[in-house]
Amino acid sequence: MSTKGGSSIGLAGVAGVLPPQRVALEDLASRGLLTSSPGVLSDLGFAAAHLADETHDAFWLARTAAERALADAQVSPGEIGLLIFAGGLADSHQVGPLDAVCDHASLMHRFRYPSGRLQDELGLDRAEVLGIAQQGCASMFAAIRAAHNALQSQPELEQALCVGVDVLPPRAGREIVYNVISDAAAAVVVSRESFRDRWLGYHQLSRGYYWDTPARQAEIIAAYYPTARLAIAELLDRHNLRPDDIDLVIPSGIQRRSWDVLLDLVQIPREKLYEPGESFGHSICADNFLYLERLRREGVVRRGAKLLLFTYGFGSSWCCLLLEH
Amino acid sequence: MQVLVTGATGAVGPAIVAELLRCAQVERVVVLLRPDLQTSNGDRLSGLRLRVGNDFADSPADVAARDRLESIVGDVRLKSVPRGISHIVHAAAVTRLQATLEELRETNVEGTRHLLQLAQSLPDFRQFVQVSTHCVAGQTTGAVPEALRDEPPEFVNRYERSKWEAERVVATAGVPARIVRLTTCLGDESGGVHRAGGVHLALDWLHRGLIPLLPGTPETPVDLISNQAAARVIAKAVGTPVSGIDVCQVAAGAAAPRLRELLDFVVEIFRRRSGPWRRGQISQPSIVGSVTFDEFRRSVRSSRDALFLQILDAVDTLLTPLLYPRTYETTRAETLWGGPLPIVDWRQLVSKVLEHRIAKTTNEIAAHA
Repeated sequence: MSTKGGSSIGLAGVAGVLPPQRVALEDLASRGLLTSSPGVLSDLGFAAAHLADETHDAFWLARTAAERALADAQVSPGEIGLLIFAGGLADSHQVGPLDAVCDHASLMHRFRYPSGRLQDELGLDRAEVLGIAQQGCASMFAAIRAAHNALQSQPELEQALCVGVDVLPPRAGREIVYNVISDAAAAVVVSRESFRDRWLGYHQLSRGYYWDTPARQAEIIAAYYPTARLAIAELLDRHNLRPDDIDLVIPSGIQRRSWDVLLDLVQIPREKLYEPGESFGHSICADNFLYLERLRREGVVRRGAKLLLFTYGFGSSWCCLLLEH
Repeated sequence: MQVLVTGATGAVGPAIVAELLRCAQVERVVVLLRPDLQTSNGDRLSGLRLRVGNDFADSPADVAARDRLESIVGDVRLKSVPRGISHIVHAAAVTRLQATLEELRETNVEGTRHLLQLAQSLPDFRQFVQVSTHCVAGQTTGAVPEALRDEPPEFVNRYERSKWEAERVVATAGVPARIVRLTTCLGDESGGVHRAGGVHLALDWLHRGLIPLLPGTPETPVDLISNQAAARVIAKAVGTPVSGIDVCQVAAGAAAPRLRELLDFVVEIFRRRSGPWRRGQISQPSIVGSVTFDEFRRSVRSSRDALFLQILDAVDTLLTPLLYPRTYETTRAETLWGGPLPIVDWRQLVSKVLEHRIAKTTNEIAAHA
């Protein structure tokens, strides 16, 4: 399903947050957190990963991102009518670790949601709250899309706050399918009557055939390019756009070389890929919005430029978002 | 005529043997079987008779034809052959994708040289038929003539180079010889595949959704022939005297499908036979040029993913030639054959081979479930 046509709904506030602890590849390898060698991952464009810690944990990341996005949008917490909390990992939807043994006390612990805690601590007192899960790295895209759809269908709704965060479990490996994984959070305020990064369109292809990620890892890797090409081509076609009409492509943090292949496939010139400089690796849901925040801060992209954001999420979904800067 | 055949148990071998046995002029076909510790020579000959027999009915003439099949054990370095051998059909070759150039030359070049030297020593010897490949054209584009090149072209892979060098050895050996170049032998006209080669592996991977990109252009011709088409022309070559060296190419030529057309056709078959394809869960691969494919190749090599390196090696060897669009002249082959070559419609061939491969893969998956 896609969202056709432009609207006055835009991304009024965007923020991305990385934990301050940055660990280089060699260090990750010495801790036993990589599968491939540092050399291989360096060849693929990675340099380090950002790791959460006790102070800068998942909730700190989510809250910090939310506060920054609200500030960027110049919106107060009380103006938020909808809070959407997104995360690719099941752990992201739980406050505190899950106990292995499930007695009554630990069963009740399973109903401690970070979305409610965020609403409470930020004072989002007018917000309805919902969560987005099972979208992998496409979680924030799904959240923003749900926010846009809610704004379209609920005239009384003015502002929605989308917050996405994923922190890998302690001692978890830091490499997924040849991508180095960072912990991170992103937050976006989706607003009515906002002309900052105005919403133009969205398109998603979901392929349940690839639901069993470990069993179908090879097939997923192979499916990435042709399905991505199809998703982007269909989005452009639905909006009567040519590849040349795209001014900038905002990538995710997956291996850099894959973007050249994808842009060739969709016939968007490679020089239209946003190059942010230092790599932070690949966070599960925050990449594109970390880059979008940097882009807005840099202020070098002209007003009216068409931005294409693309990501793939395990499950599997290929998602594209079209914005007017 | 008494014909020695190497490579009789290979991809096209059984079809060649069957066609030779159909020739009334052929008194005896002797197949060279490599030593095998696991299977007796008798069993292997029986197996070959069975495969050859699929092409025959059970008439007394056909039974008698099969009885003209004998075997000897050895490899292309053999020191002697049975008395009376007048023709050698050399179809044996190393085609392994991972083989080094040295390994390929050992059999494909030096093995050929040895057989030619042996041929020269045979008192009844009349003709050497070298079964070669369209791949000797390397990175040539446009029309590929039925002629030898004095200088090697740029090659895509080591196998191509070794087969080109083998042709040079044949051309300079000083024996009457015919070089028959075959384009891609996809399988039997019935759909059977005696020995799956790289192209079948590629089709299997395509079916599984493991090939994301195909190098080439949508208009690149993909020349496919059946084992029987190849075998019929080879048998005709054996039965037609030659002085000096003759080169001919067995190819579909203008009747070959274009890559886009072939891919669409193959995917349509997948959609009919496979749930995930039918439901649109697996996306059709994209056809890309060399720049994009090079980038993809670099990313796979950087990752060192074992499965994708294997797939990439196969695609590089088999499919990278699609980046060099060309058509094969067949005038000399048609003269030899006496008319248009016996090439079946590619749709019929591809359908039958694919149905066989899909059924086989499905049965294998069910057996392991």
